[in-house]
Amino acid sequence: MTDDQEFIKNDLRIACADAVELVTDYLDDALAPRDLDDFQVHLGLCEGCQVFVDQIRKTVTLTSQTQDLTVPVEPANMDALFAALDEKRTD
Amino acid sequence: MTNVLPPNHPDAGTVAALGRGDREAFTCIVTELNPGLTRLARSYVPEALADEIVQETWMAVIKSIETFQGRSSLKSWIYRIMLNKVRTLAVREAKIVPFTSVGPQTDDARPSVEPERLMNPDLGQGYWPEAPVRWHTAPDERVETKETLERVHAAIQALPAAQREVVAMRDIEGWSAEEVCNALGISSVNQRVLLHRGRVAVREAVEEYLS
Ligand SMILES: [Zn+2]
Repeated sequence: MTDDQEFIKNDLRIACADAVELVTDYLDDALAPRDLDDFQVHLGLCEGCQVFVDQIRKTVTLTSQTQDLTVPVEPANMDALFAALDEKRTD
Repeated sequence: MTNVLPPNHPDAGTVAALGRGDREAFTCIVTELNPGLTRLARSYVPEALADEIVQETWMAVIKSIETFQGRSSLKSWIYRIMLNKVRTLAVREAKIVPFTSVGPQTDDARPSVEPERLMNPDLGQGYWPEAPVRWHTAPDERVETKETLERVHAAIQALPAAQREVVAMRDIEGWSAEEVCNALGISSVNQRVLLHRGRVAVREAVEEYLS
């Protein structure tokens, strides 16, 4: 079994503990070529990290859905702002 | 005061129009930025105060547009004005009524996954023993319900302010990494660290809710 384990470890290239720290960089296309290669090879072989990446993606989607669309389009007192703008015109 | 903005700056037209007191140009930028500004301000202080800050921000934009030197986008500059005001106010308010976490900004660099969850019996420490439970196979498909989104919102509100700002700008307002770095005056590495920690904390909240 020891040989098999070594084989798997080398195959995975990086530990899951390291892979999960790289997910945001990966999604931002900000990994250096060599790190990207290690990450992609790891991801191809590791279901746990695949699920983790999917969950981070889903988290981003869920976060975007929390956008409060009921906020006012205009500030509270647009008239006061227009008045301040008008003062600039007479400068 | 003369404006020293280079003529090829992408916001040169808008800045010049604001300097002339052009209502149409002003309305245009207000329509674009006011909702996002308001949402971010409201993540710091209660609604009424936040809306006041946004009003003051626009007043400051009008009165000091001549001082905008074009080192960033106009949008970044306006956000910085709002953030300076709201951060100061939030610190003062927190002493009276704790509303949300305004600090401390430091974070003890928690790992993205608890080490005890990465104990593989064969491969050892640092590897998943089994994959985490997939959310879309979670019982009764609860992932995108109103309750889940409420949990997500609460988790974002509970983030340290520096993480909350980045998560809000990137994942709620849809800004690019570069825009966020400019508006917050942080490095791209710092931006990604804050974003990642924020996302990880929100992921954990969802996982906890679904399990
Ligand atoms: Zn892995």
